[in-house]
Amino acid sequence: MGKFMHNVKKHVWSYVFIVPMAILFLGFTVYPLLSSVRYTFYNWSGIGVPKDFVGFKHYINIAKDPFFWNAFRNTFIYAGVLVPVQLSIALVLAVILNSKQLRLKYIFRVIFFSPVVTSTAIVGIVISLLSITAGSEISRVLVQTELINRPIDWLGDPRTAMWIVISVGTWIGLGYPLMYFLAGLQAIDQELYDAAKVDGAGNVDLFWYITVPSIRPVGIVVLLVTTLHSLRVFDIVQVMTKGGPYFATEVVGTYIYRHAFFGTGVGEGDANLGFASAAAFFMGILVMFISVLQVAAVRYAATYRQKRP
Amino acid sequence: MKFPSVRRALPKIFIHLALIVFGGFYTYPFLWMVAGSLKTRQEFFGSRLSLWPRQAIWENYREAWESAKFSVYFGNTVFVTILSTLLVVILTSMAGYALARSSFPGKRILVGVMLATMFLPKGYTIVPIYELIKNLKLLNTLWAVVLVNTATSMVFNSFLFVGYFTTIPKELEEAATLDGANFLTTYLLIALPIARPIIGTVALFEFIDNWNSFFIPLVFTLGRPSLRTLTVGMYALVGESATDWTLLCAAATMSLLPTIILFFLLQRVFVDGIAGAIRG
Amino acid sequence: MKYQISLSNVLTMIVTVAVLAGCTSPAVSPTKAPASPQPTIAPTVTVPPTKPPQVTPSPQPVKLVYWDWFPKSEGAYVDEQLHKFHETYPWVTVERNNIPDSMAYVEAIKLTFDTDQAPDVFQLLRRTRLRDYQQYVMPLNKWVTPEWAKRFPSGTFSEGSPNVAGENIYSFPFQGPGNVIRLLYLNTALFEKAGLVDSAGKPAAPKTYSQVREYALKITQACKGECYGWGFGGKDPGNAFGNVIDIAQYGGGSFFTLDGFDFKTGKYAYGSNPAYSDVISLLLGMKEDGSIIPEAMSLDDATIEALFAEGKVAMLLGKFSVATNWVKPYPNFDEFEIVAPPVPDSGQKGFWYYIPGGNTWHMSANTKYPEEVWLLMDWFASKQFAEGWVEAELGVVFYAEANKPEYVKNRHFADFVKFSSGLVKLGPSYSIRNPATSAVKPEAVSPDWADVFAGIYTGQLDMKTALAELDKRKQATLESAIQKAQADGAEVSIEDFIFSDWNQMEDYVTQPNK
Repeated sequence: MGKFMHNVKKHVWSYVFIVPMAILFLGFTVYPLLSSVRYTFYNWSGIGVPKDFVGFKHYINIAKDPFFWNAFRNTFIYAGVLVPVQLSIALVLAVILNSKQLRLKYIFRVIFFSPVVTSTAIVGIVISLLSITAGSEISRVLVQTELINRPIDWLGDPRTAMWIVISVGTWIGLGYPLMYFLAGLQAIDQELYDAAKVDGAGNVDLFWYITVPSIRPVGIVVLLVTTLHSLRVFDIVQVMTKGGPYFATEVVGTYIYRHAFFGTGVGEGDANLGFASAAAFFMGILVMFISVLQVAAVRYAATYRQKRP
Repeated sequence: MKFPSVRRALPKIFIHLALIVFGGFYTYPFLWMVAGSLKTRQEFFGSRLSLWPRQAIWENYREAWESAKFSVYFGNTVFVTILSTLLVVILTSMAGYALARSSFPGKRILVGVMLATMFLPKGYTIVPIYELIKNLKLLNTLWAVVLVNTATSMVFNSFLFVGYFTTIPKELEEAATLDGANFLTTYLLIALPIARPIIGTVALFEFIDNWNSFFIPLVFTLGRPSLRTLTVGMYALVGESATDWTLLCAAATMSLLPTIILFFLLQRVFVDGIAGAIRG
Repeated sequence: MKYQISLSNVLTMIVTVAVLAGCTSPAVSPTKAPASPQPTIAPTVTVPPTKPPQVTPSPQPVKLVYWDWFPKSEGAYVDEQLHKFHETYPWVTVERNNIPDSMAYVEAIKLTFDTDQAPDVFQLLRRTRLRDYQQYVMPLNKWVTPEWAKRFPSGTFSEGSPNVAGENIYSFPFQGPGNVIRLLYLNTALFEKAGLVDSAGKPAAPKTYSQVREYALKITQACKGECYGWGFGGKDPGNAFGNVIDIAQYGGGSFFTLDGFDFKTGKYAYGSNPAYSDVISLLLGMKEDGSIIPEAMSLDDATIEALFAEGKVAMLLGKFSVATNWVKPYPNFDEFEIVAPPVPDSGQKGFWYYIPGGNTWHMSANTKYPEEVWLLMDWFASKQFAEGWVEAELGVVFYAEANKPEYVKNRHFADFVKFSSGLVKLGPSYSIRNPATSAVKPEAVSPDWADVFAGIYTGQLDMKTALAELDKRKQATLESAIQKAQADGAEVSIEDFIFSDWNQMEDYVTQPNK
């Protein structure tokens, strides 16, 4: 006990620094989160107090629902393509936009940042208009050169819609990792680069052997958050396809939204926030589980490699 | 004598050109939105993706200003956004520093819980939050908006600061301690100045998030419409069947101006500002 | 039983509808199309004028908080009226809070219910059953006297109507039954291009599905790739295929109280009723012909409506609001006609059905000023308010006399007003027959018909199997809901949902089970 108290006293400042954040965090994130777990065990329209207790029924139904797994699969495909592509482009772009030799670099930074502040509703209209202008032209050419026999509706065709959605998602979110990488690059000691150049290193070498390793601490946070963020994608899919056509682009976010507000998806349905909350939690637990597995796998591989003579 | 300098200049020119072209495509929708704010309603769909309005309809801006009640809501939005942003930067940089620099009892648990909440979705949390604010007797105040917006940004930003602070070489800190600095002064005089780039970035994104937040400001000002924010006001332009697109573009563009100004400021002063002066 | 439907009311309704329905013209040949028929206006039912209630002004000023989700155009009219209301009752001030998005509105209002923040009077909660928020609204029985109720169609306040729960009345309808019917829009310029116009220059209205397909193909061929015969905004399957399922009613399909359910047999019939497969086959046929704009599934309503106004598609289905949506962006666009939707080749087998009653505005159960709130609600239900609504071209109203085409300047809206009553009929209402059916709450199925139709259109699903499978799923949820209600003690059975005597070409006046 004495040692514990001594430890606490030693870290008084740390506590002072942590406590404000911790209080807000516990009060407005943890507590509501725990509260909402409660809803997952009820059928609830959102009004008053939940009364219709159903136990684990929602979780079981979700696990049995092929449409949930469809959404799950699409979500992972979305994240799996978006994260490496977006982060790689963001890092390379950050290096270029950080270069002292670049003229108008602030203008360029605003340019690549602008999609972040473009309203999602506008993006939806732009994509719609693109599909009846450029999209329809491309279709026409393809039909004329007899590569396909019917015009393709890029966003409305189940075979192509997902790829359009992923591309737009990658485009619109690039500004975030770009800015964080830019900030991270400032922390890298210029002397490291100078010394390496003297040793004869080229630009690519500088990138791989200095930039990438040095950006790691910030990079890991950005990687984690970008991954989690893309697993929770909703806005951009909803505005472009609403998860259609016939669930070809459905992600867990749109699945939850549909069940939360529309019940049947059409007209006057029953909002079932209990079901929607359960779906959200189910997804969260799955993701945690997968991440833990991945970390364990990486650790195992690392120790295995160490053990090899 | 010209040849070596041309060869050196070529990659630079190429990169600049590539950036301009790539950037042009990249920012096209944004430019189109601004162009849309100057078009007539008929041109909005009629001119498809063209960037040039037939005639600049500045009237859209006046109408959007009135419909969305900019004059009333602008001040509220500024208050909420600036206060939340300041609070977030202060609290998360402090927390990030403590997490990065010391291993106090309970740290593991706290970090674990923070990570867990990042994985778990927010869920349907508006009801418990509303109840909490009600019990704090802060309903229908802007303080509630500030509080909730600040609180919900704690986790990610703290981790960002942690990541940044771990890159500070220990020697700097040890030197400072030898000089007699304690936890607080090291934070203020060593860590924060070095962290300016990340402070600038966190501030920028917090500003944007807060400026554009809709549901929280709506819910906590239901009883006092005069306290509403810009996004809530802009909602009057959106309808389930008939959105007023040109007005929406105008409102969105007006709403963006502070963000863009702040962007330049933060980039110039905070992100690029250190210019190696601190190190060495 | 309150408000029994009297025989004279029934007769007047039948006469009105019969006269309107009797004016359809014979089928036209594609090359020499005679002029489209002009429906005649039947003598309207005489509805008593409304009288404002007698009220003594309260000495204290009263402030009412009123919430609604009306979009801008309706909102402007409401604001005007609230002004007049204040002039008539100077001690009452109404503070109007408008949240246009119905989702955000519902979310926000739900939060206020258990606090003192709840509004005194508010517009209904869409996508939520009345029973779920019944405890937060005030019964209006005290004010809804038989005298007051006379202005409404019979059956509006029957037990089992949507605005009535148990013995209590919680609201009243406002829109006329025809207000949300789907119509067929024809682009005159494109019809001209294909030579499908009469001597007066009016487009030939395709009456049957085959004609629709034929005309669409002709127009697409005449367009040579620049425009198409048919379009829709498939991004939101609920809207796009809602149009489809609505016009299936004219082919003998069911209606919104239980979409797809065959009330004559008690079984879901998406698969067995040709009304549905016929209209879906029409769409698939036009798609095969290349007559539908290829990007249809990725377009939203705003875009497809703009494309129509720009002459890129020749036909589209939609509510009257489509024409209203064109007023601002395309103020000079007038070269279109609104006609009745097509029917199957074998002939019209049904109408668009409605049931009496509906919810519009509610009074809060916890309001401090019920009398003043009633003044406002009475104002909304007044003849003056209804007439102004029609004049402002916002829709047709319950107050039959206010639906006068002569008041209306816009000829398309006048057409719509004439049309709308001729295309609708009263349908059977299981909740009026047995109010205990409110305990039957079938679980939502996903995917429901909108998504299934979308999947059939894109080819992701096979029509026959998908429709049959949808029937099975929906039948199962209905039957288990009935079982659950029975287990909870409600006296219901599948029999309550079966109306074997329903003639789909006539009004059906539901008799309560007592």
